[in-house]
Amino acid sequence: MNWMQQLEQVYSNNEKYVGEFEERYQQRITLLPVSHMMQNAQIEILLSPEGNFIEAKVVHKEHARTIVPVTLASANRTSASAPHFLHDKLAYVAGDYVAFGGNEKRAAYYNDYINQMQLWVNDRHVPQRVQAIYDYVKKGTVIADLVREKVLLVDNQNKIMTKWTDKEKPLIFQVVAGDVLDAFVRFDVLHTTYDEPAVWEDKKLFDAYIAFFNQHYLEEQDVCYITGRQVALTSQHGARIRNAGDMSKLISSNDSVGYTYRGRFAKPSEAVQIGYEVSQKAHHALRWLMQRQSMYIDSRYFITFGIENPTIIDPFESSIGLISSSTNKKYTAEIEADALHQAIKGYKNQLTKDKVKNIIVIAMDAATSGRLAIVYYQQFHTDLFLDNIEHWHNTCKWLQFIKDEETKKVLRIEGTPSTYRIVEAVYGSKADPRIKKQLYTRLLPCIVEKKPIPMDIIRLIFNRIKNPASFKNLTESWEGVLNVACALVLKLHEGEGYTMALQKDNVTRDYLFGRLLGVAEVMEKRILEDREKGKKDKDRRSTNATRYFNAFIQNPARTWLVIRRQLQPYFMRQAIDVEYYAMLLQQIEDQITPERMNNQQLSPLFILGYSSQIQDMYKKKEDVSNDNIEE
Amino acid sequence: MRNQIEFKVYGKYALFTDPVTRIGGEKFTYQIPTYQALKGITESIYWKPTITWYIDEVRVMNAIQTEVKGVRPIKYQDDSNDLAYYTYLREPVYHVRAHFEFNENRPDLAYDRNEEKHHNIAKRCVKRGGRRDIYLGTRECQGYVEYCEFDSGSGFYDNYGEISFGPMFHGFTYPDENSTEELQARIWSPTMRDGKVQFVRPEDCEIIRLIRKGSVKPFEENVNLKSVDDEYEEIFKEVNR
Repeated sequence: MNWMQQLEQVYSNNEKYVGEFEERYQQRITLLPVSHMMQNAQIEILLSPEGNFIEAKVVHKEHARTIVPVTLASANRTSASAPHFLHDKLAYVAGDYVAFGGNEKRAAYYNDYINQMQLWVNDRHVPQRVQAIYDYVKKGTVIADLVREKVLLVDNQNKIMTKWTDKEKPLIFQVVAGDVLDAFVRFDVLHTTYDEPAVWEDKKLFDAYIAFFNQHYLEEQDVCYITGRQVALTSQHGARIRNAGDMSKLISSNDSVGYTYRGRFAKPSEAVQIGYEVSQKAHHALRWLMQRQSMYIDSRYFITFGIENPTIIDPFESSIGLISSSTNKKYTAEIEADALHQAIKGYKNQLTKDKVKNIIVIAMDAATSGRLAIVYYQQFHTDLFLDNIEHWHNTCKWLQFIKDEETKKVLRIEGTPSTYRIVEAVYGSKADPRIKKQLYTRLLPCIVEKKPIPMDIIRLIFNRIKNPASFKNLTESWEGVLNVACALVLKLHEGEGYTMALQKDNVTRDYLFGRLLGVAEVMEKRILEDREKGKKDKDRRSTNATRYFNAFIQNPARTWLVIRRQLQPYFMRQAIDVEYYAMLLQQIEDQITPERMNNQQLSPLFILGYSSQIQDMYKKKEDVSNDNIEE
Repeated sequence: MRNQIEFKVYGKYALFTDPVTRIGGEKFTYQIPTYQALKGITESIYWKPTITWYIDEVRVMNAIQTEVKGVRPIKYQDDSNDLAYYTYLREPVYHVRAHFEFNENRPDLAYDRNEEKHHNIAKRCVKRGGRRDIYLGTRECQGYVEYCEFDSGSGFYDNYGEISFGPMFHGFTYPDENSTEELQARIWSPTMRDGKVQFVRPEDCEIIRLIRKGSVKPFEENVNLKSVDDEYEEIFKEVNR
């Protein structure tokens, strides 16, 4: 099924959320009713049921979101007059707008608003609250009343002061960004019962408006290309999908000179016809999903949702995130192999309980300011989706360090880093977000569709870790990036049997060279630690293995000779465990065999051997010391 | 079926634009080719106004996968460029079965209704990869035609079960393809069973929408049409003399 139909289904399945508010990032969000729009209001006027002014106040930004009934024209208006119903800007609702210094070009706006309101007031089913607002606005004293209430301020010529230059700004200047006369006004009517909602959140009023709108505004009926039914059509589709200032549209036809549809067709409606209701519902559902559960980077939004019940796990999450958020249990220092499997099983049960059968992953972005495009779209059965996620976490994993918030201990865990971590590791934290968003988009199919990792990503991260000396700043550690790189390399060689645990019988050349360097690193580091006790970590000398890291990859045999020679004094000094290290090195060198001990460049596989060897040796030491304590 | 041809069509990318995204300029592809796109491909292989091609079925061989590209189309009205994201199908391979029937709306070409001739030319054209350029949906998606047996080879969706795509564009009925000289758009709801989509005939489509009235281009002898005998006469005039 096509994406608009899917989104309409999301809307229909979640109609119970229409007008119900929830909070995310300190913003109240809701699934909007059809024929309504979200606007930010700056002024609120309270009326009596008879339509008399009671009081007015400035609305704080956090509470500014207002659901406004709109017409086809007003929802997409630019500079021409096209009033909303009920709530609107001062130019529309104030009969004394020009008298108080408003733009004279907008003199007709008020009349348009009143005439439009009259249409509704003449309707047999008009709600009392609408009548009250109409009766009040008809008096044409909105600005005068606001001035009396000191919401708006006038200068000595009795014109509204539009700018305030002093430091201590009156409230209205704090909430209106530009001209005060552009402020948006919303009306409320004195509540008759305790639980009656405000006018802009009154569900009965929404329904009344939808009924009125359908009767008076929708005429043309024809085939809708989305649903295949005979319905009322629209040629205007939603803007402001990503945020309030976003004017780009998914469906637009502003290109009347660019010949994107002309030739065979004279007007856009000849190329495609879309039903009003399906368009409204699909766009509202998309907006709601974006505000509720999207992940965005730069201008690109990623949303994963179930058609029946939108809440779904995040494909960009790390293994630890998946496990801890599914079970709500604390993770232990060592994740058992099947903890992830259990977590996924938990999700499966949950989604089956919620009757979620279909999951959609969608990404949106705009190349230009006018048009929004779908840049990724994929539909899955839940089982397939979760299997693919599990597969990703099983094949792209390596050692990860996380800090336990409670005990403040750093835990070593084998798992998949979050996509955020991967992107940071590949490009560094300072990279342009436009590049990063591309990587998110390219990793998405690897995660949700089991696609292989693109080779250039491996090359990029491999090139970064080749040079440990460049990681001097504290925002990221070389070891951290190395672990991410190992996870990606493991994913690249998926199915070839590599593991995080050291494979002593693995005789791949790159792997063995990695192990050699690992031994050299650990050995020298231990000796240096011993010798330079008391010094802080960052003041210690870096090991030869680290310093020759890049050279070692380029010319392994020659560089190994250099490193080995420099380790010689340590062997002479009979420091701790030297025999053990010497034996280990000897064993690995034997496995490499003389004909493979050449200067052919090492592949990224080498870091698996390196990292595994180091972990293995550290783990051994820890085990030994733990044993000692027990004894 | 009588007058049937079978062929494989493939390319690196395909873009069967969803009409919803067509009018704005950010093109987004359908998951499967439309009837009209396949008809266009078949007509590029071989076509004469005497015949009308009917697409019987299509078999989707590779998994349906999309890829987004940032593109920089040149604007039509001036030589500046635009920016857009287009969504393409990646590595599409289709097996197609099509047959032709004579266009009954063209009584002026009745003399050309020689089944065997047209069928044999069509079969030869398939073997040679078609007469004109083949493209998959949009012009930048170059495609290639080869002869192949419809049921040969294994496809990704063999034994996969059903996938339904909801209402989808089927094709246009041009003024010379119906009795009332109208340009119509047709919509239907395809279902793919084990990778195969059986197309309904254009006149059996669930929804037919009138776009506008049109006219049929007339073919008149000695105005825009020349008989093969006259042509022969003209070319070999010198030789015969």
